[in-house]
Amino acid sequence: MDMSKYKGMFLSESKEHLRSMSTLLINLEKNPSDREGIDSLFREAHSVKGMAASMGYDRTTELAHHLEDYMDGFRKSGAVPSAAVDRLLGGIDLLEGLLADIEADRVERPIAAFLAAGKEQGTEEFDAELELISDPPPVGESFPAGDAVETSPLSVDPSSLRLVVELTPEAMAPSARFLLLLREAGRLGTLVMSVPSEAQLRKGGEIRRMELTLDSELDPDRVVELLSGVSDVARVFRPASSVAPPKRVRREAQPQTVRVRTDLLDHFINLTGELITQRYMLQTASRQERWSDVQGGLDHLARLISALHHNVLQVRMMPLESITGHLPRLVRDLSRKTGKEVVLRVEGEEVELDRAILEGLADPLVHMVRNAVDHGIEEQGEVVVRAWRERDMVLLEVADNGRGIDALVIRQKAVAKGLISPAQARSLRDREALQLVCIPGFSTATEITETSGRGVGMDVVKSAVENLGGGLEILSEPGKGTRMRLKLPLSVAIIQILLVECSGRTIGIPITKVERTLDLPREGIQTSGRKAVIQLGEEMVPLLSLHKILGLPKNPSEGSISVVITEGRGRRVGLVVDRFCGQREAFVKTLAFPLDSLAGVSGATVIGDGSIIFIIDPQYLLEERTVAPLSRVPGDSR
Amino acid sequence: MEQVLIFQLGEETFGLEVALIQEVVESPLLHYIPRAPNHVLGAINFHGNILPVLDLASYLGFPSGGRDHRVVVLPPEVCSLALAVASIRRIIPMDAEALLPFPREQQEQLYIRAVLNYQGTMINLLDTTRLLASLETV
Repeated sequence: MDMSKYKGMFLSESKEHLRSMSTLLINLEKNPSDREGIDSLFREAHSVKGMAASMGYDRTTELAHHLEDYMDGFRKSGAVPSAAVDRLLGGIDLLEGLLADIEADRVERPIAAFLAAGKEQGTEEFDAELELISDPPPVGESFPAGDAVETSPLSVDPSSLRLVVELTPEAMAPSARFLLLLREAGRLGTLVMSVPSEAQLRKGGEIRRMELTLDSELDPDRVVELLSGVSDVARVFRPASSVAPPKRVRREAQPQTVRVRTDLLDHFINLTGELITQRYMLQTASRQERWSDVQGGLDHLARLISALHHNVLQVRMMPLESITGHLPRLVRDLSRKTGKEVVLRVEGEEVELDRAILEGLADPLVHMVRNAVDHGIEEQGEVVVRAWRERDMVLLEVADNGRGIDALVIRQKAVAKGLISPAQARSLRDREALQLVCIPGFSTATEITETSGRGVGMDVVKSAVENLGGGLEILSEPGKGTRMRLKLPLSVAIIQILLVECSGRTIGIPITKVERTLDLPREGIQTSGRKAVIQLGEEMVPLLSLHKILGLPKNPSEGSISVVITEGRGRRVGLVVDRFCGQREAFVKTLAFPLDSLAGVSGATVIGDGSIIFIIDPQYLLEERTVAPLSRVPGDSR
Repeated sequence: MEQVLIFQLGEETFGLEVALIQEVVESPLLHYIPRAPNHVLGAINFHGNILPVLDLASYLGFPSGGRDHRVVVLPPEVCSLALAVASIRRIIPMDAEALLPFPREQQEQLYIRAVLNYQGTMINLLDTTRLLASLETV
């Protein structure tokens, strides 16, 4: 049968299992006799094996099987020796490679060398186990390869255990799930029969219930318990009497799907119900011209819509955990390689972000963690990955307690490389100077090991984060560690924007790019050289006119001035606008050709009256402007 | 028979095949597009889609005379774009026999793919492919 439609599910689930295997292993390395850890590890390998087998990926199955058997030894001995951790991690790497092959529709890569290496491994305590795994897998018992289980009801022994397994309504690819369950059941005993049969299951379809008969030495309750633990299983029970006929098997095309929690769907239903009620209420109130009721009804409607919006966003949300899973392994390998002692701590893994943002964040996160270990920490230390919500944003920080970045060294390097002039270097504040590491080509790996710079890939990190509508901040002091802080929107499609007016035109600025807004009296403006600046705390912040940047005619204005404090190249900048027109939630449309080529304009939104508001990226506009001025000496010098 | 919408650009009469037109819309409200080049007049909200309005006369280098109060919206599969032109006239049938070849060297500059002789009036058929391709480099 065509199993290709289950491939996506297989890949994503297997990857999840591999990720949790490597996390488990790294914990076991510190705590080798953690019984629960060993058991979970075994279960993960077992799941991978079962899934790969039912998909017919032979090498993946064989390798997973090998690893599973190998681990079984530790279940008996009660501890995982450290040499085994390396071998198992190697095995996981190879499995990842095999999954990559499957994903790319290539032939699975060879695994013989890995299996053979296992045999040669000298450590005595493994020899016993290795003899086990050098045997060919016992086909048909724990490892049914094809149609081993195809039985007639006639052979049912009355002492056999009969079970009904029901899947949760949202389980994807239920027949594939049942195939996996059959494998699982096969491990617990001898499968006597199943309805639907394996052959029927292989045809696919929307089956929600399976009956099976099993000869097992295990306690029936234990079997029920074990099978209940398989994901997507709603319940497993022992039927009272007659066998219900299997439901009709329907075959239908499977469009791309997303798993949604049922409680979320219930919320949708409830909200829809309330919206319908509210519509009738509004219609009646407006027909009877009860205007205060209309007003109240609209307020309620607004609340319902924002609840709906919140729920819709939830569908795309995933926990940060989905991209931090690799980090323990990464840090372990890096510490090994560099001989440093590095402890990784991850906080706020439960914080949720839009899946598109998470995808875009995976690589930058690895870059930053790698930088922290390679260039931040000297001999021993700690790397903390921390995420938290702040209003409509998520902050994600990679912090180390290492040597920190010396802004002075960064300045010198930037001057030496001709990126800025000595006068500019002097005029840069420390936090601005730190941002210089994000200029492409600022650092190369060979140069930065000795200095405190660490620009490897930081340009990539910065642009990736900005493409997601976020920003990057670098905080560091020599000897006090470094914090790379990303400010991210929760979702890519719906963002908060600040509306500003310039010469009668309304423009949107994403809130993630706005540090604060100010209405200042004209007298608050000072001049420094030929530049207008304002004092913000300790800092002198240059003012730039948004009119000028956008090439708009300047309106003569009086009274107070409205300033948006934002950032460009690590430098605080005040953008002067005519006035603020409020903040709102905006559904951002990406721009189509030919508007998509407007640099610095990131999207547009249609507001209530049908007007179109374009959204600008002030950072981009400012940086585009400062590229040229950076090559000449600015008027001010601090 | 294919039909062509004719309109003026400067002193010239241009034509665009009806098959390349989604709709001719009345005086839509133009919204400001930051950093748009001068020949883009603004954006219109066309059934929730955001379309830039290209001032065709100015883009093709014709003296900017008056502009019609209507704009020509291209079908979405061609491009999300509306064209502002001087006075939109009417729709005429296109007789393939009446098409005159247009010198290749002039095609390059003028975005004209052929000339239609309609009752003695020379109508330049707009070459939308070249026009759209040129927008990429703007």
